[in-house]
Amino acid sequence: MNLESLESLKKKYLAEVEFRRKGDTSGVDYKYNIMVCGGTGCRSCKSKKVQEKLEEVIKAHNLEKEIMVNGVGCFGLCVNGPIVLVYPQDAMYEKVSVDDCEEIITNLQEGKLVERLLHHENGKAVEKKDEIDFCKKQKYIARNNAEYMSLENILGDYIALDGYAALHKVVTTMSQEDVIKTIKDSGLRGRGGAGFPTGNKWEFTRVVEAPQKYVICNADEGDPGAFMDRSIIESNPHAIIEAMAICGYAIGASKGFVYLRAEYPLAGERLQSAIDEANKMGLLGENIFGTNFSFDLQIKYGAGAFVCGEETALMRSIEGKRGEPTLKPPYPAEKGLYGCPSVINNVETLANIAQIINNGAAWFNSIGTNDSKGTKVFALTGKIKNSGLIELPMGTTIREIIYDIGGGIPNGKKFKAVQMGGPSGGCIPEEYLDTPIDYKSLNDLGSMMGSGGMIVVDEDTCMVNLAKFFLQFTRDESCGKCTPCRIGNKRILEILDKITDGKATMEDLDKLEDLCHYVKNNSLCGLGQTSPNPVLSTLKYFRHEYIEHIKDHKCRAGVCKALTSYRITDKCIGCSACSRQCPVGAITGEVRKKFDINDEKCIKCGKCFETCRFGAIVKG
Amino acid sequence: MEVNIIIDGKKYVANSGDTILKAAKDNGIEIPTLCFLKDVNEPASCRVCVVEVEGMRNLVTSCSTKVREGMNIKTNSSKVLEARKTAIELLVSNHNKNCLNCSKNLKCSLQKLCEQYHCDTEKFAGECIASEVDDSNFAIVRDVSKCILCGKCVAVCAKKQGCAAISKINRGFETKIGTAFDKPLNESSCVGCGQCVLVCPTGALTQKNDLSRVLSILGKDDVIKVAQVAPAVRVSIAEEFGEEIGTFAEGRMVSALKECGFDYVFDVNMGADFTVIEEANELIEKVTKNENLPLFTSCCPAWFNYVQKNYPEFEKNLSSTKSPNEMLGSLVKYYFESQGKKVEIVSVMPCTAKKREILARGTIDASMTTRELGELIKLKGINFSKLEDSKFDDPFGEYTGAGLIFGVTGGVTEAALRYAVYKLTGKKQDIIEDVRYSDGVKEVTVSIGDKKLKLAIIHGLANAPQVMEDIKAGKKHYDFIEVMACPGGCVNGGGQSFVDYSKIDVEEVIKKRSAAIYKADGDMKFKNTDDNAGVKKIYEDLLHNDHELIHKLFHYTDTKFN
Repeated sequence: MNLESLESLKKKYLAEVEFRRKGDTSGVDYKYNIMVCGGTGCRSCKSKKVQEKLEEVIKAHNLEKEIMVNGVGCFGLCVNGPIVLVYPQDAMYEKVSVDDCEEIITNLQEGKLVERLLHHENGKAVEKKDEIDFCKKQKYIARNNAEYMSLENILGDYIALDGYAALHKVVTTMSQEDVIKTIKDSGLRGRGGAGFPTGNKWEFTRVVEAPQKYVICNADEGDPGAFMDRSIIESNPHAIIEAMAICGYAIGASKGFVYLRAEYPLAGERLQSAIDEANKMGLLGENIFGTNFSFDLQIKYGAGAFVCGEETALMRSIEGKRGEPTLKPPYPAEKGLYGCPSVINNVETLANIAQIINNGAAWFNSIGTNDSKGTKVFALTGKIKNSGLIELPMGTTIREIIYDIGGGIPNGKKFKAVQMGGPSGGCIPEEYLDTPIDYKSLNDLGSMMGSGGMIVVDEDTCMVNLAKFFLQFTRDESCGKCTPCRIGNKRILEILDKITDGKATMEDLDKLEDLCHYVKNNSLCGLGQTSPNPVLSTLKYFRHEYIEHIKDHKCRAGVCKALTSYRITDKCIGCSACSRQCPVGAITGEVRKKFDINDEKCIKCGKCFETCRFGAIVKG
Repeated sequence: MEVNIIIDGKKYVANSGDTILKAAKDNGIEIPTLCFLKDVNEPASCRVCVVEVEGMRNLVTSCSTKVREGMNIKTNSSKVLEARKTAIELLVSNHNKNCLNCSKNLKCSLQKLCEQYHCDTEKFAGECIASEVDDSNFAIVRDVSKCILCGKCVAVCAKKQGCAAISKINRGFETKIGTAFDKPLNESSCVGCGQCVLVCPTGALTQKNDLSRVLSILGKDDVIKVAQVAPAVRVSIAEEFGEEIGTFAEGRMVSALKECGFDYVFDVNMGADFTVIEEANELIEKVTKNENLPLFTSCCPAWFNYVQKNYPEFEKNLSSTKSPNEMLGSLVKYYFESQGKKVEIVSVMPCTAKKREILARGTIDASMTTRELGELIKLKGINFSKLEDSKFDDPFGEYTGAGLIFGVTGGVTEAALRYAVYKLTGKKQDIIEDVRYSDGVKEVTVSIGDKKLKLAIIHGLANAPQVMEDIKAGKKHYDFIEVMACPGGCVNGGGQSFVDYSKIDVEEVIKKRSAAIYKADGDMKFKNTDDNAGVKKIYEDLLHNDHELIHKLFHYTDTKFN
């Protein structure tokens, strides 16, 4: 591969991409391009079947020359999948099923859209995808161009969109120092959790002299609810490959590993075929772009231990050892994988690299806040209307994310808090909704950026129970090496259990708080050092809920079963709907008379509460 | 380079590469730790050794933090003590606290720390890992409910002994030490060396206790009760009674065994002298015929087991000469039974793996470790320190320095060389320093007359595979290889007295016990097996130089343990 062949490839595929991006029909011989999301989320709602059906219908109508169908990377609004994009109209269909395909095609034949499948806001269909609220405030860097690249021609479309131009520029015109300076100047910080400046990491590794160095991509995305790394690899694997090669050049490494969790089979499949393709095209392997830079890339599958996202544990796992963190120092930059200097970057971090090289450090540096540059991808989930993946400039406020992009809380419920940073993070209550998102402000609030998980909770969530959920996770996912994390987290969880069972005393609360601080301050690695955060932050902002559980034996959200009972009030008209829904036959009564709940039989599932249309059932 | 540091308000000078733990220890300041084992296990995972360092936000683990110029360290501030206490209380909250029934009661590091730190053992009471006793192995008993996951056993097993029989399995609170696929220990690669037992801070790993078996033998009136003691026991047994490491207590040990009720106390050193003669002859024969070389020693049962499990193709190279213990056992049985008397033999060994050897060979009735002998002496109410010296009984009590040095690495080789050199050249060379303790593998070429012999001495099983692979690949040739499974040889055997490795390094222990053996060897009039008149007498008077009988008594007829 050389510059000429890269440019000729770009020319070859540019027309298709420009057709999608700008509606420019000049270079293509078809009229429409339908793209069906091929991300894991949409695939799990049968998007593959939708794509096949579309192809079938097109064939039946003899429209193969007019309408192109492709797979496409993740669009982000996963809650409404399967997502189908239609170009050149630039429209987005939601929740498309195979039954919709005939209508989609027949309408498209006449250049019309299917209105009912479009995204609706305030009762009105939004025709262009970029005009829906979910998209308006987003800015794509890490997830750039995903909606324009077809999965069937992933390398071609990537090259058409300047793919591998950065690698070419780096290996043919830049010194190692130049590359690192650019990354440093961009202000890029690690997107995996702690936010360490990426350029510095590269520099520390570059200066160590060693015959062998490694570039490692951390794709062991383990936070519950986070899936931005999976989405990036599935949609745009070459961005990661290119960035790793650039890093390899900058630090003097000839070998890279992508540590990918085995629970991501689709990402593995796409990444492997992208690596094979890159090797075939000479974008990986020996003498890249005719220089003496060579770079090999290999996928290593992780078995799904959360702790293997911790860099030292990850390296041990690649080495075939038990995934246990080891002490730092030595840092990976000095002694990493197999004892060699190594850089470990997270997927999302790497997804920024090529664009920083192409557009310059100043461009990237101009986005975001003083201490946090660029964008951040969040996995927005929980009690929120538009759940999915979003990418925003740093500095966007939490309120903007939840209300403007996320569409607010569904069913008219009240916002209570947002848990950020997964099990290592903390919750942020309503009074801090206007906090701009950056590394420092989140830390100051007792939360963290983490990998970008955002779980929104409403008034129906018990904060003690929420903390319990995360502690259950860390109890199970601790590697078991150090005492505070292995046993401390278990004991924290046991105290939480006591609280939600209504058996705790105020002394237990003190013990809980002390133990949380102990585990935080004394654990060996980042997992244990952050695992009590969900408890500490809920204690900080929702202590009254803890106290209510202990003193009043009350769970205001009605979640903790031991503290919740259901009662039927006089509003009951005796319709018997609740008793028919009750799975244990705890509700009895005569039709048209008030029904009763047998508290001893009741398992507090809440089914009756949800069923009653007269507000006759109360909990508390 | 040296750095100036302050520990607890006092100024000290430390080496710049040292950890805080080392610097403190060198200056007599004690910092507790449960997981640290120098050079073997340094995971900083128990979090008990934490100290406060000025300028650091959190406490640091002293075992892993290096000293820096001007470092101001507090090892006993309230903050430090509180954190240590919490760590111990957490560990003990997930620990089987049935201490009175535990063989490590009063010897348990966790128990000691609990007492020292005034721990509330119920403060964090909660779910405990279930007791799961694995006594499938012939020598080692495991109980995960007493394990505090310090990882020392795993590290020693893999790094020092090259067996990797055990490892951490599961994760989170469910983490435990187990074998591959969590099978019973006897189905693992364990060879029963017992090094894991030596390093276990609690009662999670113990050796099988045969005290009741020994007591039942001692209670019999109709048999002759014989005790026979291995060379290395005499330099460790006194430690059971609080005496210095490496105290030579042969005389008192014999007295104690007599007081325990044994009719005869014989010396395995004499068995070793027989082994020297038989093995030297075997070597000369094999070298002459150039057959099945190298000849491997087979007196270490853990090594024997290791070869069977890992290098079965080398079983034919294992010496057919019996181990000194089996050698003497066979002789004793023959001696009494040929007089029509019934005899039962208890051997006292520095070794856990011997429990398997005697089971498989079927000659000796029980084998107890140095520690079990200590327990027996205490049980019998014998005041060890006040005992007068006694001598081993005839006719199996006479030994030379050659037999004694079997207890240290290189000893078998040195003893055989002393004998062979004399036999082949007529010269007596009493001390052959070349073959004594060194790190890892020692290679020596010796000339005896016109013969050149290439020898290797290995201790610590982890050093064996490289040599075996080199031989297999034809890269190296040896005539004779001595292997002792335990680092340092039997002086540091898995059955020896427990030592607090937070106070003294294992190398130091090996040095002290070995020095006691070499000192006794140096003091002996006869250092060459050839000078053992008792041995000669037995060949002539008891065995009438009957080669067939000698071969039957002194050699294994098959190389298999059952």
